[in-house]
Amino acid sequence: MTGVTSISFLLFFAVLFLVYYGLPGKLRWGVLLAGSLFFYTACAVPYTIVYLLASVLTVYPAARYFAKADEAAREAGGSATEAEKRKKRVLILALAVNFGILATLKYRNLLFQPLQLLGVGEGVSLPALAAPLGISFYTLQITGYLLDCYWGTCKAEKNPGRLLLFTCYFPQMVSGPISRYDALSGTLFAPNRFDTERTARGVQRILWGFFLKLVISERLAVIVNAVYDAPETYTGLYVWAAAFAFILQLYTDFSGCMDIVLGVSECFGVTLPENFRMPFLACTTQEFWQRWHITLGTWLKDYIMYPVLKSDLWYRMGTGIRKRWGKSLSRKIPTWAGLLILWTAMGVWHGNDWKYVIGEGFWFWLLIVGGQICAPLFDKGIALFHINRASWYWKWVQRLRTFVCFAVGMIFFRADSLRQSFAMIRNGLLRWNTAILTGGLWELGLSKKDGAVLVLGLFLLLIVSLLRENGSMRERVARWPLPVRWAVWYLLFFAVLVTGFYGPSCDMSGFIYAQF
Amino acid sequence: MNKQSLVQKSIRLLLFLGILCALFLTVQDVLKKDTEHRGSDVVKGFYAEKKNDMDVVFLGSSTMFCTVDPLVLYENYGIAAYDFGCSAQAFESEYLYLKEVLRYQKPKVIGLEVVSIKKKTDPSDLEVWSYAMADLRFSFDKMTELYRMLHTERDIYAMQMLPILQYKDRWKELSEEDFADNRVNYTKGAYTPAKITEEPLDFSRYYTDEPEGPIPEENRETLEKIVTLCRENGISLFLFKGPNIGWTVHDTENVQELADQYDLPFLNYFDLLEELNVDPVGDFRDFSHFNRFGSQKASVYMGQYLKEQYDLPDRRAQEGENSWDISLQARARDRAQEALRGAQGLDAYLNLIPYTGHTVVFSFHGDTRRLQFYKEYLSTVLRVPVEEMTGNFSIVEINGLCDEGVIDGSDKTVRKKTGRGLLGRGELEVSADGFWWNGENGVLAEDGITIWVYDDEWEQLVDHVGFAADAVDTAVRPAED
Repeated sequence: MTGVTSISFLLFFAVLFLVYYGLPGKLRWGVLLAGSLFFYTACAVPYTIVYLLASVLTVYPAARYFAKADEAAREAGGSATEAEKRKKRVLILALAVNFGILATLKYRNLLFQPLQLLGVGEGVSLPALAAPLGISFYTLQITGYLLDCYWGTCKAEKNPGRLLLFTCYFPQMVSGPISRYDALSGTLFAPNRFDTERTARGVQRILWGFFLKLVISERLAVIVNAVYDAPETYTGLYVWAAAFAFILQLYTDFSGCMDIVLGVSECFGVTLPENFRMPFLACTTQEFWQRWHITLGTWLKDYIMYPVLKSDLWYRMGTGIRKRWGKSLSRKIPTWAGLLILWTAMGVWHGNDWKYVIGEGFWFWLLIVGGQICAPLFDKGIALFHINRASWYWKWVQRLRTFVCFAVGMIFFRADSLRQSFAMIRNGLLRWNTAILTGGLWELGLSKKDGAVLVLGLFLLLIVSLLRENGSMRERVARWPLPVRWAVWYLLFFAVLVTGFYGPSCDMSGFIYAQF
Repeated sequence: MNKQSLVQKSIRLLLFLGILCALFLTVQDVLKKDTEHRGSDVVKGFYAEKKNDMDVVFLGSSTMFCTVDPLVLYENYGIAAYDFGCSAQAFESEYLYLKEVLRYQKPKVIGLEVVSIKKKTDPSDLEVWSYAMADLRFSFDKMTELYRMLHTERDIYAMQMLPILQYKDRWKELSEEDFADNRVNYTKGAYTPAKITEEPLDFSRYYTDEPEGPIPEENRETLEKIVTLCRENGISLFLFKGPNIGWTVHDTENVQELADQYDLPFLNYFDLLEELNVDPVGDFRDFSHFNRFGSQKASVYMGQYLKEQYDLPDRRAQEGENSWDISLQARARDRAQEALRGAQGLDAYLNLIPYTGHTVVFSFHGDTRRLQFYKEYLSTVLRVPVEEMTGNFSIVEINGLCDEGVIDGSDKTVRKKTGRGLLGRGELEVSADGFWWNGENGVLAEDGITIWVYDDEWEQLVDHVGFAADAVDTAVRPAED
């Protein structure tokens, strides 16, 4: 079972679906748990389940402790400083275990690379350690639950099996989304009844996900891989073409995976949060990240940035700045500092390499903060050229600008190293090469017919994205006459079946975010 | 959900899935490429046959369909037979093939050629498995039997069960041919080219070559299952072996032992080489297969053998035309076209042209004074005034009728013939300057005659040849791509 687009996964899903609805309602969450554990052992190195169980075995008692401590404090009444301190120690311990496992298994290089630059351990490479499937996702998910219990915004789960299911629910293990316990538990543990409409919608969503991944993303990968595998050959416009192609590849890959994951869950009656909301229609970088990988962004904001901004340290920082530089900066600078922490965390989460910290973190922090600092200048420019901010053409200019800024950041994501990232940007700007405009595109491995399919696919994606701004596309299609909507689904099915990149003749890549 | 709503939804779902399956099978059929070796044509031809119409079915691989020609059996003895086997077919798959036969036919006799009984099944050769399996219809037997043989190669298994997985990328190269329904196999599964081997076969090696090893256990088990299935269905089974280099007397002994064990007749052509006067050069196309001439001898003997051993009806005596009659007519047509393609001189060529059911273009170009004799001949045959045959001109003969006579320089109209029925898939353009088929210039002799023959019924080009006016004994044909 190599991924959610494999035949094995589809067979597994079909069997689990039948068993789920075949058994009595109260056993259904148990079916999901059994299925999830089976999925884990089939997809990951089996012994790594120990790490997942360690996370659950530390968080479960900690959360139960918080619940009992809060209850005792309510009964005792008045100040309970000692109890608070004990809670905090338990919290720190549980967080240390979970993030310690994550850091050791996934982020050792981040500490080791700077040491190597200082000459320590030069030429040495750290031994690879097998990491659990989806550790970056489930660690955030379960620690989010822990923090919610600590703050008293979520009731601690009494059944350890349910907490285990929440942590290892199989559709999420590949690439998220990162769920909140109180939002997910309602449908995850419920004895969901079979519903034909809901199942049909789920299957439709799965099909759309397959279309994005197999028809669009894999074709874009041909162009991207060709350029990134030979950066000295493909310079100038090739770099930018590959950069733009990569973010489209990444989007269709990741959101396609999310469509499959959410579609599968919908078939079981489980509601997962959306992770994308037409991000390329964003007009600013800030708005972009409210539409892209939504659950990661909100997790980092709710569990890192806001607690930091509300902390005593930040309060004292703000007070100090106000005394020195005035009220305006006393609000902005702590916020920028908080954003720096958020974006550093964002970069660190993405990978075991400083290229992610720079490209996925620092670059976007720079754009957001730089945009705020330069806002008065931009306002003057807009007024000078009499630009109507509400006009459709200005919106598309902003969208294009946001798209290009994101593409630059993703060069770091895709490149093999920080060095290669900067080299590619330098090659793109200084080593001019326009051959891609005069037929060079077809030398990258994609045929003209595949190119035509790609363009049609992207056009369809654009139309669907624009229509989805005004409501669900599936519900829109459901209102069309029966022959028309059946024709739509048949066409989509055969588009995937016939033009999809899969099978022995295709060098198919796995889902990009599955590496996390 | 009330009962009526549930019923409605169920019906709708079944209808949706039913249409989806039908579309799936259609798309798969279009995308699936016919195998280059014997495979698709044999299997598709089998399914195109009338149900329960065969009296004898032969199973095996290429040695089988090159040894036994069902049309010779029918022509000489009235035996209705079919060669149901594909190139390099694994012996283990013969049981599945027998089961497939029994789904559509009720033969009285099964002849099993045993050349592959000594070879272990190789599950990894995708191409070879595609010959035999890709066109076999879906069935529970196919699903289970194929899994048993290919469980170590799941990708190959998936591609045989769902050929679209192997051929889906062909959407980029589809042509009109892929939408044509060419299913009838006029040769009844046989393959009998006239080609003659360059190297004589040394049959003394039958006695001197070392054996490769015992019969693999899986093949023994397959034979046992075939025997059991035949007995359960009241079918007479016999084994036979066509002559090929690589088979030894030790292999014969091993098979004879099995034949004795199951009380099966075993017809070994190695024992008949002298009796049949088999020519080690003229009767073979390569080291392993009879050609048309060798197959003729082997098939006549086989027919006699079948008549003596089994009670088989003479289907020639039946009223009305059956598919073997039609196949014989097709073979006659095919052989006539083959003879035409083999003719060297213009004399012989003109006598062999099949007019009926064909479109023939005669295009005279350049200095054709030396071709006066042939112009007069054509004038008589095609009923065209010889006085009009001057300069550059072309005559079109369609289905035995001269179409609009001579097209010469004074006639500015360009005649076009297009579409299906007449001239099948293509456009023929004829004028005084020559003729074009689908845009390609057809004139082959600058000073001479070009003849172009097209089979309207089978919608295929038969021959395209030019004769220079001063070299009418030498046929010039287009260079092969």
